Amino acid sequence: MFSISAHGRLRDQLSAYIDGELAAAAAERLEAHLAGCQGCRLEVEQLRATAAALRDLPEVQAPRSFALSPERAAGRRPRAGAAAPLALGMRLAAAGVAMALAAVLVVDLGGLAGDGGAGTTQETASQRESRYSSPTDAAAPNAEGAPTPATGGAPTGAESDTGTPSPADEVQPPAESTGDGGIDALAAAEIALGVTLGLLVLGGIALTFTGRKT
Amino acid sequence: MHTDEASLIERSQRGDLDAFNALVLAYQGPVYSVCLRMLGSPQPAEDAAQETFIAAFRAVSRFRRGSLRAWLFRIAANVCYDELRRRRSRPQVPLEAPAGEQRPAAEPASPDEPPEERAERRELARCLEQGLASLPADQRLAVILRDVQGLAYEEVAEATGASLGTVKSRISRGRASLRDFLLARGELLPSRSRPSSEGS
Repeated sequence: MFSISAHGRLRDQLSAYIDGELAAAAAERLEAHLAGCQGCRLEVEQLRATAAALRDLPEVQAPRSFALSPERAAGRRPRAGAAAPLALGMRLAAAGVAMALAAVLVVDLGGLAGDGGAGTTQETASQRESRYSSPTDAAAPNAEGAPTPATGGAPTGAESDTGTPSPADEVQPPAESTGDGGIDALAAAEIALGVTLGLLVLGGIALTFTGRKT
Repeated sequence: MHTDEASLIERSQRGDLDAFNALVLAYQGPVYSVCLRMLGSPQPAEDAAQETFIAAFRAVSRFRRGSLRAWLFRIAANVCYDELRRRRSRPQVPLEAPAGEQRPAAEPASPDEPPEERAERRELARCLEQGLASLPADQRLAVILRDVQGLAYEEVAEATGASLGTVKSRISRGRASLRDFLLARGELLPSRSRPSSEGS
């Protein structure tokens, strides 16, 4: 009576049928088919049993309250509160050390090799820029009205890796800055100056944050 | 109850955190449940549920008339999709944690239920959770919202941002796959059909 494609189309409607989601005319057509098709009748029963089993799944309770504290509501992270200043301090410290080393490097290479050194520095800067501009927070399947937390600055996840320069990335002075012996002493002094500067920055930041905490 | 909710929404939209938290307490169970079944393990589900309510608080002023439940599920679904995408970009994290293993046991103990039936029911639930976890995310979400959370098709469409036709198709395919999953494991024998299923 029914062609294979018509049979397939009707089978696709079985789920909507058991939910009462078919229009009256479509439901009538399907019922006429069911009267003569044992396979589809069995399928209706199995789909009903599946849906019923899903309804009977044990209710899951929330493991804790998700009520928002005023801090959470304001966009701060109370849980990570202790770690956040430290993380920020580390980032600033890394940036401080990197800046100090970069300054030493620029002076050093400028004095030593001229255009070769400058070229290396430029390349490092552009590499760094491309790192910062790497895309984060891919678009969520979001439609109007519903916010996408990932793009809305949601406080969990994603933030920790948004282009934060890691010390390993930053401290990459070109190893080929070797020169003759007289200049080596000057370079060593400059590096020592840079490291001292970096340590001072670190110490300053640590002091700032310990002062703020108390 | 419904007036209560409308009033809580209105107060939340004016920035009343207590009112918003009353809504959180009302919906945190279903929201966490959807996150858990979408993500497969408790800790990511907890994070996703928390993120959902933070995002909801920020956006509640833009909520218009409609189902708050569907709106919250939509935010939760977006959070879960984001997490699933993150997992795909980090291959060391399994895409689907085995459902049921780390799931909190929420077995409603009925003193009248014979032990064999309880064991059968628990086994069926475990198998269903595994079957759900094996579905594509879109179908899984549609089936969870419709059959586990009991949303109407229109609400599922609202919560997923899909058309009614797409929702019907996802539910149909999801259920058919689940049925096959259960049949293959001998979990959908006629005796397993609950009395409640006959009435639907």
